[in-house]
Amino acid sequence: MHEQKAALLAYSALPALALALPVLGAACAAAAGEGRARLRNWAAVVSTGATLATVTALLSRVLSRGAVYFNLDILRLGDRFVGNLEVDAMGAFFAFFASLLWFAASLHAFRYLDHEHKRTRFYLFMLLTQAATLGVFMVQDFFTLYLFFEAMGLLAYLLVIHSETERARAAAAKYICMTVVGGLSLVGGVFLYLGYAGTVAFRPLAESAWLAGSFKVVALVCLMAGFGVKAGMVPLHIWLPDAHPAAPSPASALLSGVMIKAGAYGIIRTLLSFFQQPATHAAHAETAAAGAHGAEGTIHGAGGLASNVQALGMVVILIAVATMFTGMLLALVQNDIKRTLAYSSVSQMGYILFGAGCLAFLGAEGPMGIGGSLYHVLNHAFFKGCFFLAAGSILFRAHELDMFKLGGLWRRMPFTAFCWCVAALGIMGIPPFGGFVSKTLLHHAILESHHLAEAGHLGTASLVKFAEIMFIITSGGTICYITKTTYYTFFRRPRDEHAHHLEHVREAPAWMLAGTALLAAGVLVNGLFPGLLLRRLVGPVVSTVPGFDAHMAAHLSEVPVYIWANLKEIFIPLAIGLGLFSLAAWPDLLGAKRRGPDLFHLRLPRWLGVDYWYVRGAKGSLALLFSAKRLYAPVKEGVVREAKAGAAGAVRLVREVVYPNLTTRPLAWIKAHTLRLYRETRREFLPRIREYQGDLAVGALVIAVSLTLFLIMRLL
Amino acid sequence: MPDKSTFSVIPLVAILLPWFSLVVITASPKKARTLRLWLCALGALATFGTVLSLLPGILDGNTYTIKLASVVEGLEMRLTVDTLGYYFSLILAFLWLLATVYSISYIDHKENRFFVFMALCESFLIGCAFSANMFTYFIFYELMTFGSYPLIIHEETAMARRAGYKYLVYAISAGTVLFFAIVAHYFWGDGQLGFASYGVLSLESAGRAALMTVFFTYLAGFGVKAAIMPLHGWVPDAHPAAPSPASALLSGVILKAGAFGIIRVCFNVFGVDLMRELKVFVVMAVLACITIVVASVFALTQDNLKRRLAYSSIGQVSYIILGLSMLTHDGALGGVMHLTHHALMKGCLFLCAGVILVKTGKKNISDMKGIGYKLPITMICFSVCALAMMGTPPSVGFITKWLLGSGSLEAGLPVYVIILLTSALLNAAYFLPIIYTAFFRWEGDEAEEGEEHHRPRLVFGKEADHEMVVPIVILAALVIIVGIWVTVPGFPYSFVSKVVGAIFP
Repeated sequence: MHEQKAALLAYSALPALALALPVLGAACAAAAGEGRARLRNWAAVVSTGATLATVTALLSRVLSRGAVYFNLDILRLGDRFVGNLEVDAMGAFFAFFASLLWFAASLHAFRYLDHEHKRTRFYLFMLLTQAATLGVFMVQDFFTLYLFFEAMGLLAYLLVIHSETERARAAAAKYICMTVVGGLSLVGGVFLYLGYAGTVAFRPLAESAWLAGSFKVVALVCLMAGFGVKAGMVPLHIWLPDAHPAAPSPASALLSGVMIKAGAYGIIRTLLSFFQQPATHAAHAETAAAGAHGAEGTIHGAGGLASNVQALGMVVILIAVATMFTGMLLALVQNDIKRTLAYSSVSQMGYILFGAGCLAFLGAEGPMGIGGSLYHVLNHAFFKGCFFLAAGSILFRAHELDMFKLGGLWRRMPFTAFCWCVAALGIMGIPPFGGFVSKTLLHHAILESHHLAEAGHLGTASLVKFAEIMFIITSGGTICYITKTTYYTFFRRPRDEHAHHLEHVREAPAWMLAGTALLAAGVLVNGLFPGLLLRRLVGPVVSTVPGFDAHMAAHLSEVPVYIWANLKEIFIPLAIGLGLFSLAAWPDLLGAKRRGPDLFHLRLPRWLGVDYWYVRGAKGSLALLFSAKRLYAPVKEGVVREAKAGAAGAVRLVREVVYPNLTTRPLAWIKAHTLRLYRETRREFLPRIREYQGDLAVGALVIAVSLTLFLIMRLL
Repeated sequence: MPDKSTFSVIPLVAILLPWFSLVVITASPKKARTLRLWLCALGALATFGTVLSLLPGILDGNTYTIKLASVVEGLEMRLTVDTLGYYFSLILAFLWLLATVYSISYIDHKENRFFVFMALCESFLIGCAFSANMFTYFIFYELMTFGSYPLIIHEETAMARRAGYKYLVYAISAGTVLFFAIVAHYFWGDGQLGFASYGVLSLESAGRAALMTVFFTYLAGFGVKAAIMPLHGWVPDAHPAAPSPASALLSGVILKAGAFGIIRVCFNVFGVDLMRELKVFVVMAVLACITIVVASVFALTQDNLKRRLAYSSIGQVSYIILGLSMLTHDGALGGVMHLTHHALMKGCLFLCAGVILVKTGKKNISDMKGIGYKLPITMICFSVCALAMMGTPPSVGFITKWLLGSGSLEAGLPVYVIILLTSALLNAAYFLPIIYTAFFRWEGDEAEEGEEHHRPRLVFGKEADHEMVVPIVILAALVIIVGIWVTVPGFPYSFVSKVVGAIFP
């Protein structure tokens, strides 16, 4: 492996620099402290900016000249496990938008933290989390990935609990439980992967029994669950809607914009690992692949369309559909802005997983799926980051996040409202904003999957069709809840009882606007220059993934976006969304009195949520454990009691039956016996001793002398 | 093994140096407390230095030996420093040095008695580590048992006396069993009590039943110190009763003396092939798994911090037994390395508990609200070690977990992975609430939302004497450093990979 590495990869210090800069920034921020607050804030801005520059350089280098590595050489356990940095195009892509978001968040935090406490702690852990998160994207094996992933999850705990209110505590408790359980599931999955792939690297070894392993499914489930917890995959999403709103807004933007993407990144990596078959199992595909991929293809083999990978893809598509639909449905009924956004994140993660599922379903023809997924990752990072930063600005000025208690903010905060609207049009998928491009790609991917399933007369064809329909319905629901949030927060006239609270609301400070605007600009760029991004960024990233059909990968770079065939697809979701919105919000729109049920204020019973059952399950299993302990205690006491009784009985037996005299009056007994023995001995032996007195004395002397001599000789 | 070894007095010097403290304490005037105790620490430092002086030679693969006495032909008291023994002596001398320094400011009454018995215990334990055969090991082991009794009852409270009594009952019974084990070993093993790289016993020398008897009597005898589960009774009483440096040593080293004995029995007396032949590893594995899970569940229910840590130790020492029972390269590597790893982590945790006890007088976790603000450095170190115990990377705990998991896959038994993960989950369940209580709660935080004036502030530099803080910081730093740069010469991997690599090529 090492010779190959040297041949394929170039050494670069950039990855290590990208990890070191945030840590350095964190150290500076912690050293400056509250006493030199401006210095501390500047340290955060400068270090995130420098990291962004470094990662951009890294990205351009990786895209132009191939993957790079850096010998971190930590955690070396024998020859098989070692922690090293290695960045390929996909990792660099994720690292790039992550550092962009961190830069925007640190700009926003510059002023936002004014009304928070323990600001130094926040900066410290925000920057440390950045280092850990970038580390997740800069490795090529599950061993080191787990290292950074766990560090990221635990460091982010400090961001979630930051405000230390009851709500934040509860959210953080949920978060840490899910993180720990997810981490354990992950490490279990990595072990099983190791056991059956023979390596922890993302690329399975060619000679392993990878596709034959019977534990493959378990390994897959463990890995998917471990990453899925972070990714907010249904039914593991329960921490997300609590944790994201509880964190300070810059941190929410990071949690929603980047950290859940780390989960998605893990899932994509897992799927790609399972999808890349070792050469021995794909001999028939190799001849086709060898010409297309050169050295890479011949070494690692290329993907053929194995039916179990396809089934895996189908399962992921269905999970993704469940995720996007559940998230959308729950986002509809929230009234807290940040909670709406958090559920929206769950829903949008469904889109990203959807693309990943299409990738696995399509196999070698899957570049469209992963392309859509990656484009949506980028989009969602920008618009959800922008949303959360804007929500932070609203909280900063209006001290309120209940959208029904707000209103008319567009007059008071026009720039924030503008940025919000850009993000809103982006997430709704209205052309020419970012979301439209990625949703188009994803729609293409699911259509291709449908063609494939129909052409192969697969039984899953109807399921794929169902997924497509759900995709469109969810897009409609997304339009509805975003319209609702935007309308109630920014455009509706505030209710009279809340109006006086909003009188003093002003535009957010420039630092906060800068962060928000940076991300809004990202949404615009994503929408306006899809050709550029696909050709220069997403296309090259996808084409570096080994195992794809080269023709399909090239097609992704040139896929036309703004054509009528794509544009007309937006009308159905738009009709659903706006129809639903006007159905629910007509009294407020028309200023009429409400009659009948109100969709936006629906309260669902607790037992409908999965977290209710998780808590029940956890409590039940704990009770089971403790009942086992309770059962054990009487047994132990019984054993101790019986042992004591047995010992006492034995003593009594000896005392009362065997030697009554010995034990009741031991001294008298010993004295009497000793005396008797002495007298008898004396009567018996004294005459004889007198007779042989001289001989005995000589004998004793001889024995004593010989003993002494022996001892002296021995000691010398 | 013996033909390669060179004569050296250094092992004997290392054993005798701790007695220097005895001389100091008896010879020095009553008033000069600080001087006297620092001289004891100097003795511990000298011992550590002496042990350290053997490091280059050991890394080159040399062994050193010295004969103390010969009882009868073939049964002699001999010290031999091989890689495995040296590995144990290094961590114990190091932890002893830190605990001695810590004790200078911790122990407030009868410090003479405490320091003398600390030194004696160290001497006997180094004797254990350097023993060349089971007979020598047994003698030093029993001496150590009696030497550690005054450490446990040092507080002289009713609880301490009870705990000490329990300790003696368990330890003496175990000593008797161990004695029978050695007699049986001597009898059926043709007088071969020494340690050899591939084991000295074989099926030719005695029958299957005889060898199994020897193994299980050894397991029972050492199992009491190693706290394998039905034999663990003394541990949760002795740890809270003893002064914190003594608990750190109990958990960090004295429990390990039992585990080390089991390692010797497995590797050097029976040998891996014989164990595989006799299938005795199954019993070890089952006992270890039960201990790991059940001890963690018991730890969950404890509110007394040191009692919780004690139950945690019971579970963690069984990691070593589990690793041995896998009979694979990575499993044995992880198990034996955990000897040091756990000593670092648990040593630090008990020393932290000591600082909490001295500075705030709090023993129960539920009283420790906001303690992280009063004792920030201590509690940060505590958190580092607690996270390491959960197996969070990068730390020594992660290394153990990873190697044991990898070893269980080598053995083809992924069920151990489930046990390890369950244990890690339970570890999280009983360690995370402590960190949470220390850092995210404070007195009166339920009262009113937004009452900011109750919120404590971090105060650095006022927490405890340097004698107490510095050892804690060193240990916590090592927990991370040893967990990152694993292969540095002198760190556990450099010794254990050699030992294990010779056994499992």
